[in-house]
Amino acid sequence: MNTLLTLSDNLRTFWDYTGMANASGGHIAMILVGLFFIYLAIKKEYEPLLLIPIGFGILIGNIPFNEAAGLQVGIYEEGSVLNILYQGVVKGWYPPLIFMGIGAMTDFSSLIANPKLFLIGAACQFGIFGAYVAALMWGFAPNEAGSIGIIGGADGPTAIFLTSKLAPQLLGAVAISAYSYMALVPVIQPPFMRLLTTKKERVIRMKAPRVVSQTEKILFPVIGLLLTTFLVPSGLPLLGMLFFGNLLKESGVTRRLAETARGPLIDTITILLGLTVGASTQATTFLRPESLKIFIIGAFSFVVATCAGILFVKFFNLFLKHDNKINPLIGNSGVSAVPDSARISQIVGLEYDNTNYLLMHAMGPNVAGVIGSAVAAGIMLGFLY
Amino acid sequence: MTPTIETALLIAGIGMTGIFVFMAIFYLLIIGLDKLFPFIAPSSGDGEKK
Repeated sequence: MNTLLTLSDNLRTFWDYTGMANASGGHIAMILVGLFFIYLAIKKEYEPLLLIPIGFGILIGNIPFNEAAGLQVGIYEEGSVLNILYQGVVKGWYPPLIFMGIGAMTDFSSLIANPKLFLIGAACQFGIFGAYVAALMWGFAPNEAGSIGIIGGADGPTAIFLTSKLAPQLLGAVAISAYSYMALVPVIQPPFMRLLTTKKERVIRMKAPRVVSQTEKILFPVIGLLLTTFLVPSGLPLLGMLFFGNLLKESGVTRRLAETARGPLIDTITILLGLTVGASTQATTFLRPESLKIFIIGAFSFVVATCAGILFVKFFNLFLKHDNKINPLIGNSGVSAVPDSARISQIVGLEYDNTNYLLMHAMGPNVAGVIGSAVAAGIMLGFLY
Repeated sequence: MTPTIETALLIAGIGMTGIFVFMAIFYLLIIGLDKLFPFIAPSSGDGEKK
């Protein structure tokens, strides 16, 4: 009899530790979200390099377990493996490493050849500040509003970096929102691009960019670094690493370092970042009304950023000579979802003129958007930290 | 309009102005770079001794 009782107790203890005993509706809902991300990545090929790690991370983070048992498996339990890996997000050192990789893989020639495009990258940052004001009006504290606003920059690493400094409690929601909307660029942007442009504007042919000398390419990151240092020092962790990565690429004498930065290093950090950001959506901490509000404001910021870029190009064209005009379909690419938003400019442009290739022109505002959103993050940090 | 929103609009105004100033300086520096270090096409070899 005693043996049966002991067996029964042991089975009950075993049951208490299983996922089945600890599962809640929230866990199931988040597991479905994770599966949906994986579906989008594989079936629709929306940003698979991000959505696969994030989607799988959501599954890992939402496997129900007995949180009171101190098993050290959850991402928020100090000392757990996930918690150690998550420190790169919490302390904000994954994003600068990703920026170094982006710098090492980015060719700034299209921007150097036509520096007017810098201003489109600036205009799109209206999305960040519009969302910041909207978040404040919806009851968020100023530091939280700053973190939510940065979603409009369409730059995951920048959003994570700023949120880790200003409002770490919102990290999961902000990061998931930023990466989700980056993946949904092909769905969100085209309707607004068509809505805000005329047929005549959509077929504007832009002048072929001039050839850029190697000296210019080498001096660009050096000048960028010095400009950042003197004007927006708070943007240095991101922009400093971006320009450093770019100098590795353009100097021509550090090929091995550049290849590591844009290859194995950025891949490793992307895996760790995606997986831990996904796992940070543990249902017990993630499923709150604030997360839903953040998603709504995030969508709003993306739309504002897209529209601001397109409308700015239309305004700018009023002052440009006929042969220098800019096709407003590249206005959307001032958000820094590289290179997806530039690809969207190309795809929508080809729908109206199948010989008008906009990709090389759109890459200019696209990389300017990366710089612009990092500057905006630096400014936010300066005001709100 | 609450003081918080007024401050937010001020930060937004300063922020956007700051970004445009940053980009405008970058723009001018690149124009300067183009003047100082223009691309010179490598010679085609037509002028070389045969």
